[in-house]
Amino acid sequence: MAKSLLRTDRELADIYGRHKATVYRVCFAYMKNTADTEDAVQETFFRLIKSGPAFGSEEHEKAWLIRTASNLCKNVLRSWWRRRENLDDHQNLRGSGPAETDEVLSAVMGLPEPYKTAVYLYYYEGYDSAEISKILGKPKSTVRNHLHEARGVLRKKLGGDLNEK
Amino acid sequence: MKNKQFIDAWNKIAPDSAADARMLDAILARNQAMRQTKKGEVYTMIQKFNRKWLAAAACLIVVAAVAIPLLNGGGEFDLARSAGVKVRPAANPPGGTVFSLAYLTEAELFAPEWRGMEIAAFEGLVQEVENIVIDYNGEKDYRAIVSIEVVEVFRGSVEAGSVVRVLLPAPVGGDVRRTDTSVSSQMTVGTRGIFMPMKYNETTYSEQNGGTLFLLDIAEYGLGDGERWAFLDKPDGPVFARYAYEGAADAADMDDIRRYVADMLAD
Repeated sequence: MAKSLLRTDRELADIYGRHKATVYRVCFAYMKNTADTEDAVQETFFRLIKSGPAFGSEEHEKAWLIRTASNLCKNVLRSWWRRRENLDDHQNLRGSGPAETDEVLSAVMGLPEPYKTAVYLYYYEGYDSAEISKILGKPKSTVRNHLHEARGVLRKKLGGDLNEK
Repeated sequence: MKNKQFIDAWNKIAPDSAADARMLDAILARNQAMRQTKKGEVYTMIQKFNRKWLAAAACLIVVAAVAIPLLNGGGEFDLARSAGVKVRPAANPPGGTVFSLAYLTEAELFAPEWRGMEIAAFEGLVQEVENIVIDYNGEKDYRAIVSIEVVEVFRGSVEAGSVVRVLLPAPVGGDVRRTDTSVSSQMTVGTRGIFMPMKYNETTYSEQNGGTLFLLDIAEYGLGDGERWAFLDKPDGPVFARYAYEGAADAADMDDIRRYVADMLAD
């Protein structure tokens, strides 16, 4: 069993700086509000501290954080009380940018959880479905299906075609 | 083109600078706590226990102490239940011993009990401090027992006005230097504070080198470790493990601490 790493504050701050935006977006896709997203981001890095995994590359590091954040958020959402939360917090983002962007964001946030993450990783982070499959620990066919379904939903909401990338 | 709009949309989701700073601060604070925890690990056997209670287990494993001074004072303690153990006052305890501080969340630190032992919470005044040595058939552990007058009870069966004996994981005062005891080492006579020790029961014991010490023979209560479960009122501000109690990290005085403890106990 690999020995866990104790990272210095500097090392940890560097990792945080490299991946905070990604982790934040993944968490926001699930939590839908900034307060819970902050908690989830912190908890993701707490798990990094606790587990102390060694990474072969920054990509490996990023993939670990995405998967951990995703699993963590799913666990939180499974709690019974969480199911009763309001779903409108992402509406607060409206008005701070072009109307088309708000419409797109709103449509994406309205997707079911697994679709949202897949869409984010595919269209924003640029991962292909095989890579997303590895990161999220889901079969490739499931990821492809999620992307396909998501495209269908977004096409209905936004109209027009959604390019492959 | 929708893809560009996707990227623009996701770009809007980012922490503001205040949130960014808050998250990084919390993460680094946790990292520091973890490093202190790892630094202090010496007893590998306690790793078998549930991590949630490692700190408390560490205390039990190394415990020792005294309770009933002999009539002539300064002699061995009378241990009614224990066997293979002698406990006596220690005039000049050595330093150097380290303790395991497992990470616990704030909620875990405020848990009401552990293995049937209640975790009390009260405000009190340290009236007496006695450093002791526990001799387990030749193997020696140095600890301290503080007698605390209970002023106000927040939780537990202890009564206001009573004086309780609390076993500490390390000696107090003098030239004693021990790691991970930055709070307990300041429990000198006259120190006021909020204390959250665990209440020993008939089956709480410490075993070492063939000796068995039943903790009730020397104290009614014990502190989980030398850093947490205590908030001391000192002239320069409250002394406690700020890294562990994140909700009170900015506490400026004991009133802040009292509010924090009340909130945590109410949850």
